[in-house]
Amino acid sequence: MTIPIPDLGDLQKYFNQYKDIVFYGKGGFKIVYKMMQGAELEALKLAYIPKENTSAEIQAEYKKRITREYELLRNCNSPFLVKLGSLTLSEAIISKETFFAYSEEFLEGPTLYELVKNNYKPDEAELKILAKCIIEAIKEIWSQGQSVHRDIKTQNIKKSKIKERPFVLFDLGIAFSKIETPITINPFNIPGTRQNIAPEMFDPNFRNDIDYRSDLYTLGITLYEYATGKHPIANLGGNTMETISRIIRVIPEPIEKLRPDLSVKFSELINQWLKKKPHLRPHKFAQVLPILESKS
Amino acid sequence: MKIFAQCGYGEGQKINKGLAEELIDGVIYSPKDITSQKLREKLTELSETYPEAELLFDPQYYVSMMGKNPNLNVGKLESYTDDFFSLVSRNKLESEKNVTSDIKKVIEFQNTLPLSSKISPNILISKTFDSIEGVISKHFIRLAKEAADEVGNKGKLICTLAISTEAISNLAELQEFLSSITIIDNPPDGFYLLIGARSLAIANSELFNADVIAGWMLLNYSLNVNGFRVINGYSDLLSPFLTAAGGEGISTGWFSNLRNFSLERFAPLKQDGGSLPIIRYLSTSLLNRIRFDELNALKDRFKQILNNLGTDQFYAEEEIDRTNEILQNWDALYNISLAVSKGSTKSRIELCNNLVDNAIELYSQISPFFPLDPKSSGNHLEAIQLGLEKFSKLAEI
Repeated sequence: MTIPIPDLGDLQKYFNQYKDIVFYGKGGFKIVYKMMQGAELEALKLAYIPKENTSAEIQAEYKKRITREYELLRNCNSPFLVKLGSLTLSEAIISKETFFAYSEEFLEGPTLYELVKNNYKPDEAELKILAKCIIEAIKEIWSQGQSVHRDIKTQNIKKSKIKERPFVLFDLGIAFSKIETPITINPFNIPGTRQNIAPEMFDPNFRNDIDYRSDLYTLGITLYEYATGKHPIANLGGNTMETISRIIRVIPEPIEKLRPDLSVKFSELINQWLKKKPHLRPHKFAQVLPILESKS
Repeated sequence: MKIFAQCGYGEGQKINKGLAEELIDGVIYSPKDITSQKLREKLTELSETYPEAELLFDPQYYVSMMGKNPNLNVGKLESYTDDFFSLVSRNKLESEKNVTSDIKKVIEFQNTLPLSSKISPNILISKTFDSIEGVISKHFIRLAKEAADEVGNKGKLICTLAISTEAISNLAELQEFLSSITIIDNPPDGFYLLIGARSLAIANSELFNADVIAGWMLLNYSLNVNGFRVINGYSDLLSPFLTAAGGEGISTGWFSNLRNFSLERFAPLKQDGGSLPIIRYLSTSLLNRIRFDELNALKDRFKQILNNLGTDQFYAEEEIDRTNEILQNWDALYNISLAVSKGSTKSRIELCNNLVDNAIELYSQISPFFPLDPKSSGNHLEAIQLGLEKFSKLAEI
């Protein structure tokens, strides 16, 4: 899908209560801008709902998705999840295109993906802090209508400069709620970053069985990639079918082979979160936290 | 890891000696073979004499659904009628309210005993997880902690999980069941696993089956990974493999019905009135028991048959005391299980594979020299080997 980029002048005119709007980046169906709200930086998010060649059903799916993301962020209360900004969710027609717009706080700092690209190697203490922060975020998301983030990855976590919030998870665009009506119309069309999809999501009946252990799997993928600079499953250059096959079948190389400096218990925990079957992933926070809080 | 005496008829001095000589860590009593009053006296005595011993009570609730069996013989369970025992219908247990009520009765009774942890009840999943029994079993697991708390349980709670060999053999269904019970809110602290054969006569052929072994090991592995304590009832010769997979407790007793679990014990097809079984020696290197006369015939030529444990001395005598036989069995099982209880799961499974390979090799050396009794043979080893392989795949090791 091609997202039309609105004219910056039109954008500034439409959101005239904000200053210094500048383009920041774009994702699957969203464009992100930086802007000033008084003295505070905020991230303006424009979600594009395609009209041409798109059925009313699909359009409705996109709208529900953006609404769910917004509502989840509104209801969640965790320092390790991005917070909403001053702009509430509303429809906006800019440069003759219709968007759904809202704002989030703008967090300074690189994403883990950027750090990986720069060959940054976090130590065990930092990896444990990352795991703790994201587990807290997963817990909070689950507490909101048994929801699952489904897209935890290095691109969606920022290493922030705020001491109390060292790592912050964002982009709940494809979050799934177990108790709400499913949004995705085609159950075989699994939204998300292909190489990070939990294996159980490929089961057409996953809606009955999914729980937050799918997010622990993607946390395991993220920790592995951040620690080693290498994705545990994906094969560079592989096509979609090959990637899916690898997700279902390939047992990742144990992390200790690439990071022998990590403690045995911590390595075991990451390896265990990467297991294909959810019942093999430790999930009790009381069980996991002592490992993450130990010095070695 | 801990080894428990699976207690039943004919206890004599076995438990006291086992605890006194530190060959067992605890005892699992069950009501079929001991009256309510005698149980109370015995537990009081043991808790005072051996304060470190772990004392457990299997309420044998799974018998409750056998009311229609014409051969039903609940033994001394009848003496628990005022406490918790009654026959129930499956329909009754489809109601969560009735399940909660029955859990409470069982725990309230145990609250009056000096037990280390409480075992909450469950029914046996007799054919398949995808059944009403599977659903009821999940009710018992999901409701156990809350019900026990409501009747003032202060200690740890272990929930019974009883599965037939037929049900556990469906490894896909087992994994779905595990996925479901490992995520429940407010779960028990652990599980007391019972894997039941259809009858005691064929228990060995049912239990020494690659799918059953792999499934039982997977239960231990998955529940341990999820922070549950796992006590294996009637684990006997499979104990080392269950320990390697993550089980904390293993158990066995002195008669075949205390070594293998089967509901047939409560509805025997024929009355046992025959002679006592032949005395046997549990050889850790053969991963099996052999007859006393076989031991004597082989031990000089195949020295590795002997365990070189303190309890070997009992077999230096001409007449073996039955109490000493079970002491030797516990000693051997504990030591072989301990040997595979450390290190990563992968390394423990490798150790298990080595044990089986060595046993096969030893049997092949013995075979041309001495014909062993069928029960002493190595016929079970191939199933264990295959079971280990299947388990490794299921556990993604």
